[in-house]
Amino acid sequence: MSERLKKILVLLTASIIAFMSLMPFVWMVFASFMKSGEANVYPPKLIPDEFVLTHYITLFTRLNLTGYLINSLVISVGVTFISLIINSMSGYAFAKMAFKGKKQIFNSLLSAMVIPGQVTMLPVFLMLKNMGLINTYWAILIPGMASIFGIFLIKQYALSIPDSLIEAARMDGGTEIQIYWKVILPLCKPILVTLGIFTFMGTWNDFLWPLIVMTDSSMYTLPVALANLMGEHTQDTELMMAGSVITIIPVIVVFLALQKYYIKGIMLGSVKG
Amino acid sequence: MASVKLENITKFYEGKKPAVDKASFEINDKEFVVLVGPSGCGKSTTLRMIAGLEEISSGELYIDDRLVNDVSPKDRDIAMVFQNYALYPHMTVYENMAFGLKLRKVDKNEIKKRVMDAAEILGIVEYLERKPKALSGGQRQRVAVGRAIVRQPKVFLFDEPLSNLDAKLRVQMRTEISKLHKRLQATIVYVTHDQTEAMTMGDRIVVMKDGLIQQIDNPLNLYNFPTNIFVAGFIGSPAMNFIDGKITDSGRLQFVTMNGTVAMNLGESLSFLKKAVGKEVTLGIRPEDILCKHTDSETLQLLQCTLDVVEPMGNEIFVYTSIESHPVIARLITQDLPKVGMPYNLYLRLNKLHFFDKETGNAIKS
Repeated sequence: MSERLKKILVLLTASIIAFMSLMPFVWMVFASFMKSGEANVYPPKLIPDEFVLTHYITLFTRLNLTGYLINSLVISVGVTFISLIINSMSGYAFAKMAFKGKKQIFNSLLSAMVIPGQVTMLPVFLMLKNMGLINTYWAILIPGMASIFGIFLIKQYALSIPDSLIEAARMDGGTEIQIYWKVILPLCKPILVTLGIFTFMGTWNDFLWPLIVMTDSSMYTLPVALANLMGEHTQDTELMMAGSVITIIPVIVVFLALQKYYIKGIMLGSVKG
Repeated sequence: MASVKLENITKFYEGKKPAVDKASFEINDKEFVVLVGPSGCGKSTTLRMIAGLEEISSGELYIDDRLVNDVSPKDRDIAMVFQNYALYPHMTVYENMAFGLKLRKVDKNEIKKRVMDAAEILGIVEYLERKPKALSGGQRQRVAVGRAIVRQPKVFLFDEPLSNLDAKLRVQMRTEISKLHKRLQATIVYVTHDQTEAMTMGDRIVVMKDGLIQQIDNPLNLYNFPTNIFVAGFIGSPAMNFIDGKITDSGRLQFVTMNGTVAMNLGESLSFLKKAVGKEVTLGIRPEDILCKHTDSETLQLLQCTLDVVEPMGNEIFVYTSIESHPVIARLITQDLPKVGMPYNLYLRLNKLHFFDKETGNAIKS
């Protein structure tokens, strides 16, 4: 097979897969602009006869989507920043600092990774309830403050930073906090961005946990609110699609803005071995 | 600038044998001291203890008569240049050099002045805005040195700073660091495994092996009067030749090789060897103390041999032979190329012979 033909075949296959995975999103966007009922006609339509914004207006006026959007934003941004700081601090400590029981603590953390999240849901819920934190942002912020996966990821990355760099900073007069802040964090940027995107997306899209700890409807996050919408407005497909568009826009924006670093972060493992 | 004093400095890692065993010496103000030895001899550990990057297991370390055992690195007022440069990759050359001063809250204009001064001395002014990755190895090393200079520390520490550079650049940087030392009037402790670097740069050299200090002296004394067989073999290139044998005294004091193939009469000047009669000794002679022509001006010992290899270098010729399985290299100043495999006469300068006790390895001295 010639090189050219091979290239064409690969591109063709890739295009078909891309088309298939993009189609639902494209339809979602178009359907959100359709008039009520137009999405359910047969044969199905892709392009609406007339672009209308009624569903978006309904979402933000009657259904109080702004509140859910703020909830989601506060929680996702909060979890992302707090967990990045805590994960990077402990990842750095595990990689570069000498302290008693370091290996044992890290190993026990790693073995805790195999415990499925659902197992700890009830105990964590009860603890939060006893602390009186149910229906507050803290109910999602606190469990999300650190992740073993994040610590592991940053530890592996920080291992590749030469010790002499830290020693040089120490000789230059840096305190431990200054070294962490001015030398380690900037050097960890690619992995922090990658982990940040993971965390942001994971928190933003999370459905089960917010559903459990946010019983008051004013504290709902977007995915929970959207699911509620589905229950109340089963027939209103167009409204549902408009809600979905609002839900995924921030994720797409974050990803597009940071994808340059994100790819660098994912590639790291393969290059450094 | 300042002096550094080590008193019985010892470093234990896990395991019984200390990495550095009771190191005691003093580095005077404005002195350039080189720690040299094979890898694993403890020279870098000693330097790192002076820097404060390693804890001192026992012993006392003084900088300017102040006990600094428990003083953190940043408060010891010292600067260090690392083997792998250790430049901050995310900062420009300027920021790299200014970092230490910024952390110490030095005035901005003062920082600028010091960085520019250092950059000028090192010839890196045009690279100040570049990141380290856009620099060559030699330029990076200059930045690393610059980062140390701007701090104006009491003591400079260099940890094998030239070993990542290619041979030509190494020679160039060597002289530059020597010049810098004169210019800054700095107290410098310099670690290397390269004896040429040690010989050419150091005011004094500390030779170490297996965590123990073997000898401390200026380069020429070290070369001419090594205290033991290790120092004798480590300093000098090509290395000193060693031949095992015995001292005998049957009316005349003689050195006889192990199998008795060579016997040399030891003259009056070596009469102190009488105390070693009957002992097994190792004779040492430097390649340049073997001549190819007889002269009457000094006492020589004839050595008849066959040459295994002849290497003309242009200004001199290295010839390789052996005495009872001990390889012997001679460095001859001649333009007559000897032939390989032919019998050849070499002459050893008797007053340049070194003798070492075979058991202890220590030099036998008058």
